Amino acid sequence: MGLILEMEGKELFRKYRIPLSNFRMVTSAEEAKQAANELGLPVAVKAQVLSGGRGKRGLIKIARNEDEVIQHSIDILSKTDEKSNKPVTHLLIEQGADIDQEIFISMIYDAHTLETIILFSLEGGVNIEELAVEKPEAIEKVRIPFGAEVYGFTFMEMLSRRGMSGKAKITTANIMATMVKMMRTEDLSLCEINPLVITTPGDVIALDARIIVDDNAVFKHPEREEYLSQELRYTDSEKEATDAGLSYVNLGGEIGMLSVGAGLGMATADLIAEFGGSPLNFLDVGGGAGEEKVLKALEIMTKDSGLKSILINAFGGITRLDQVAEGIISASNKLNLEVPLVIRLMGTNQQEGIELLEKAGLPAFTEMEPAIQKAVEAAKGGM
Amino acid sequence: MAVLLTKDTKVIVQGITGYQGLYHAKLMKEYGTQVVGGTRPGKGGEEVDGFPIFDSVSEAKAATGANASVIFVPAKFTRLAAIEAIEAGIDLVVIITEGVAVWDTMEIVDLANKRGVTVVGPNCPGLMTPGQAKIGIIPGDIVGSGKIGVVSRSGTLTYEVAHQLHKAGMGISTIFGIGGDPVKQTNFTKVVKLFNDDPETEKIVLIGEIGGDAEEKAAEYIKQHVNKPVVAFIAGKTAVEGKTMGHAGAIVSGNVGTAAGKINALREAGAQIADKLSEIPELLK
Repeated sequence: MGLILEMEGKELFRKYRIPLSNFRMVTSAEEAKQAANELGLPVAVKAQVLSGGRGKRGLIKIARNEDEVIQHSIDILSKTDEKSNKPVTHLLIEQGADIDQEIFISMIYDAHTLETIILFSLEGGVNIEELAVEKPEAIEKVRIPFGAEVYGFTFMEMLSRRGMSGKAKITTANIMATMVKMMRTEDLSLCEINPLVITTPGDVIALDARIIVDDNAVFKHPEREEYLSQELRYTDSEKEATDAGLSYVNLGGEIGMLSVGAGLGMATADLIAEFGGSPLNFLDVGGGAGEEKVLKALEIMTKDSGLKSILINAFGGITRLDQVAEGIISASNKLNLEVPLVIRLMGTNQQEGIELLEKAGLPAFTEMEPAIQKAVEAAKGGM
Repeated sequence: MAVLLTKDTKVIVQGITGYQGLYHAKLMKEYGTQVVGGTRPGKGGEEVDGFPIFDSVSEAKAATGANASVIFVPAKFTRLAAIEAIEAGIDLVVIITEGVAVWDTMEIVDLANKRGVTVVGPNCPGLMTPGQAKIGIIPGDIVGSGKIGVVSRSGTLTYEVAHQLHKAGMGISTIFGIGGDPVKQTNFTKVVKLFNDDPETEKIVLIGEIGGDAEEKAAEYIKQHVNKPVVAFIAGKTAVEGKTMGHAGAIVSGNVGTAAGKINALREAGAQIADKLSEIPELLK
């Protein structure tokens, strides 16, 4: 999931002329004080982290004077974001606004119909999920067919019916049309403003930006490789895995699990649980993986503490099992594996793979269930 | 009979000069598929390992009578390759490439819908009619010919199930790896419908996984339209909520997309549920 930071989302909004409040990015309390003086008090001090619910967790605070700016900044910069487990390093200092109304706008795509689904509510703010349950009629749902041309007037009737009027209505309609366009041109999976505020003087401002970008579309938007959110999205092991083209999930148990393909990995994890074990982590080397990827995956796997046994479940389609075997052999030579290693190979070049392993003194299973059972027993010390 | 693919299907490989493209062109041909050539702009008129190369799909189609295409080009070129095949009038386009941008896929699917073209994938192993032909990367030797239709979202799970059936002496009519991406034209519902309408397919195996609502939608269809026995397996029963295990589609959000929800929907639709892959052959008896 390519969630990006508020500040990165707002830069994207700026590019499309969606109205924003005045803000500054800072990395220290001193800079925060200076920014607040330039912007004028009061200001909001907002942690740039990827997890939601910042307000509830004390990661967004309103500062009414200079002392509060400094105090809140020091306080928030001393916190650790629980999602990425990394310290908060960036603050967005945002000019305060007299809010008359808070609007919620959120857009996703429908994977079946290809429509863009728009959720809209005049009762925006923090508790939108509760609102969806308790008062669903307060949320308007609009579907836009794939490829349809959308303009401000597309939404005018709906906004009038919901009770909006004047300049605020027209600006909101234009923002919605822009967001629909952004979904496709910016390759977004989610484009959300909560809240879009109408101020007492009647201005419309996007106070937040919650955007998920498609990781597979980075080739069209190379600037995203430099985003801070790229760093915050992953733990160190996840980052190392992603950079190597692997996928890694920590699951907190005791069996290190390497599979070729995510579906097989999930089915393997299910069977580990069924046989009374628990997976420590999951490394998916993906289709077509060669020796180096397998070695790298085992390197990452063995860094996690609590490892009691290793299970490799490889079914070769596009992947050639002789190359998987080479990776396992070089890992067992280089990594000083201290725990039992259980291997299962089936599919393309299976025989070559098994022969290579046997020469290296590593037996291999060809069936999945006995291999998993063995790995569970081994983790419990029964090998 | 089988669905979508027979020994008479004529296939071209888009990206035939690439490593994977050529490797699998040869394996497909070895299996019995009529691989009639490939495309690589700039290399038209040349040959690679006996396969004629064309600059464009329409030239390849005119010269060879190809009616299917398989795409092995890199992700950033997949949109164009697929659009080219659809506009050239190819009937069946199979996209093996993984990592295709989702809005590119939507554009491909939208165009294919308008032109009445079948697109399988992206990020999929393809399909195979055992004993006749295969398009894509499913290993040929793990599947025997028979009357069971298999459809799966995950490549390696597709192979695993095929292997389990083979071991139990059960044959397959057509095996479909529909791919793990969230957006696809050929989804569970479409393949289940093809199997249901195919007189040579007697039973259906559906291999799903957590994330999305494609299994739930297929369950609705099964409940209303399918009389053939269906056996289903869902991977990811123990996956941590909110953690994706690799597939873009495998993101659990709220109650939609959980293994329990999918299993209930399929069971209610009359499908038998296999707790383990190894139980599938027994449930098919």
